[in-house]
Amino acid sequence: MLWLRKIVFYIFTLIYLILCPLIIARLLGFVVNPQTHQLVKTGLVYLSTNPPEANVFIDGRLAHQKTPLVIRDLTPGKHFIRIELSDYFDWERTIPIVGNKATVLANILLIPKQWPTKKISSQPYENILFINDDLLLALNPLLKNLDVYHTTQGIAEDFKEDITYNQTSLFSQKSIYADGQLVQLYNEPKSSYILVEATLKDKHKFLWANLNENPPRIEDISDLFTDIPHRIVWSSSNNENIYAFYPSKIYRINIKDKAIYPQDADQLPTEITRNTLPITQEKFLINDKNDLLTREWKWIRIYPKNDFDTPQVYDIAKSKPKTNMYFEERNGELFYLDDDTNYLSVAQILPYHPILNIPIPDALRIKNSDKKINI
Amino acid sequence: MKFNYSKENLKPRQARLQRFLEILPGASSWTVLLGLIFLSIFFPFSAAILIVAFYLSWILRVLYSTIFLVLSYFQLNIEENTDWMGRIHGIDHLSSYLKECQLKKFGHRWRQWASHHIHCDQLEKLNASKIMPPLSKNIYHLVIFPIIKEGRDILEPAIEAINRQNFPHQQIVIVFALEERALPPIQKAVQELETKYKGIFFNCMTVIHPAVVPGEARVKGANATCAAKKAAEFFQERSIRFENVIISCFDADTVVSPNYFACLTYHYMVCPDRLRASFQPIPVYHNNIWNVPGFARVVETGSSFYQLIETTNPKKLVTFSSHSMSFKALVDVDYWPVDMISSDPDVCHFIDGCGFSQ
Repeated sequence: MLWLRKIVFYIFTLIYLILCPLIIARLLGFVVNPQTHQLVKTGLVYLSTNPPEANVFIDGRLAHQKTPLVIRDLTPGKHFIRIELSDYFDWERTIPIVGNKATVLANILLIPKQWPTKKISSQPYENILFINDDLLLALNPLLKNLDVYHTTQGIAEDFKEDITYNQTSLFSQKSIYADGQLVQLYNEPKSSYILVEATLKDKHKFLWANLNENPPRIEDISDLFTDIPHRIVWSSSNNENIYAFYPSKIYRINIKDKAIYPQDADQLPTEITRNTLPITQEKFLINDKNDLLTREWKWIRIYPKNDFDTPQVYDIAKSKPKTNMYFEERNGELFYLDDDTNYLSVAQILPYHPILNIPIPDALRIKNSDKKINI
Repeated sequence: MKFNYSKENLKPRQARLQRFLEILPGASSWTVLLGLIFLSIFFPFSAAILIVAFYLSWILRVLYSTIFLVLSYFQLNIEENTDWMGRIHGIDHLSSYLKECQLKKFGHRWRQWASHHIHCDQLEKLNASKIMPPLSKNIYHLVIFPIIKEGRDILEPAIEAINRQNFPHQQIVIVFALEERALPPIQKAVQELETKYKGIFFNCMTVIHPAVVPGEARVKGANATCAAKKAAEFFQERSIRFENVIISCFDADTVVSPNYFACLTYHYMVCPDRLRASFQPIPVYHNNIWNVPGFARVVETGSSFYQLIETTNPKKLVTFSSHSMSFKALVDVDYWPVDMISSDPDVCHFIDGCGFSQ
């Protein structure tokens, strides 16, 4: 028995002496590169896609998990990654892997083969204007055709779901202002009030409307204007006072008291000194600021972020030129006027899902300088 | 020979060295435990590597131990139904018995075949050594029970187990090594047991160990030594050679199996170097396993496993608990140390080539 004990002891000692360094080296990220037969330190890649649950192939082999995922123990060098998801174009890149570093490809935007879009209005409009929170005002020359939409009504897991976007007319058909012609619209970005300047039966009208109420409450404050001002502004924190700018004077108009007060220019609240006229926004950084959504002439296009390859561009839809469009971050939907019909339309750019945190410390991520490493 | 076991008679420098060596094992364990916590906080990377290396060594150690646990169990298992008394009587006529054994066939009964194979091997070695054992009828067993607070409820099952032995009772001497400072109920119980079993065995006697003896510590070894000396006088009076006496110093709760003394006698007889060997049974802690708390059950099962594993490495084995040896060897080393607690292993250290058997 003693000799057997000795033999087994020496065998186990030998196993330990061989296995222990190998296991520790493996845990430290070292593997034998099958091509060079050298011991190399491995890196990893983190992949997350929008939408998630996509299959990942690395060098032709299917990863065990779906996105988001971390693929470990990759030998340094270039690796070909393909991401597949039904109804979406394959995403393919050759990415560099650096030993002891993480290549992070977070929130990769998968491009659908057919962009999901739908018309949500039953009439054409001339323009749209984002008011506040989720209020979108669709504009037409006649006041009775001004409609209010809520942009967050479409939040759903599935865009194809038949979700109706409630439309509320700013002025009902029976309103005495229904036949008025829109001249100009004033708004303050953080205020739910708008001031409608219109003409009705050759008379100039100023109508103060609170869009947060349903139906919107309209107040005619035309009598408070002695002339047509060239600029009207108000503070988002104070909806009782508006400031009318005339060539040589400024009036503070108190809507509640129906009173007009002269105002010194140097005593104006600081937040109303900026230009509050509607600005057409043409560019949006979407998907956790990874991708650029923009409009070039009438084409709405997306430029997905691309760290390791030539940039690509995808057309989403055609919109009416020189009109506003609005990207609702809460549900990833883009509101625009369709180029052919001028109907208010919506395109789902990002599937609705919360952005995931990347489980990799910054110190381990490949920085821009690291990408230039010759492999 | 005169041995000093405690550090009282050592020079200061030797005493400090002994103290340092006593501290060393415990300090090493604490250093490893606390060191890992320290490393985990301040050098987690190093701690992780050390823990991985430790885990791997532990896994391999468990596998290694399991191999010998299974082998040891196998050894134990194949001797379960062995007729030890038959073998003992056979050795009394070694030449003819060896020939008879060599011709015996067992077919596909692998347990009997393995047992017989080991048996033949032992007989051949004994025959080759030309050192013949005493006749089995001349071999006596001296069993000492050191007692201080063990009552009848503990002692009687142990004596009853000896009473159930298939080895001749008239070759067994039982000595109750009773401490003088034991409480009266204990002393009374021992007297009752002595009276009860006196006629059953060759002899059953009680030796009272004085409470205070100069040069002795209050340890089990002093008590057992006192009893062994009395037993030596007993054997000398009857002209029984010490070479023919096998001494077993049992814990009071040791319950042996019915074949125990027959098996021990057999191994004593087949061991050529029997006068310088120690015979260690495999202690398995299952006597009252279902009467103790769960945690104790786990510990005792682990201890049984450990003892089984260690039997495969007799060269490193120290005697433990109820071991046996030639009474002559014990007398030659001046009995057990009288001034230290754990006395069994130290006796073994003075006996060359400790054998192992059960």
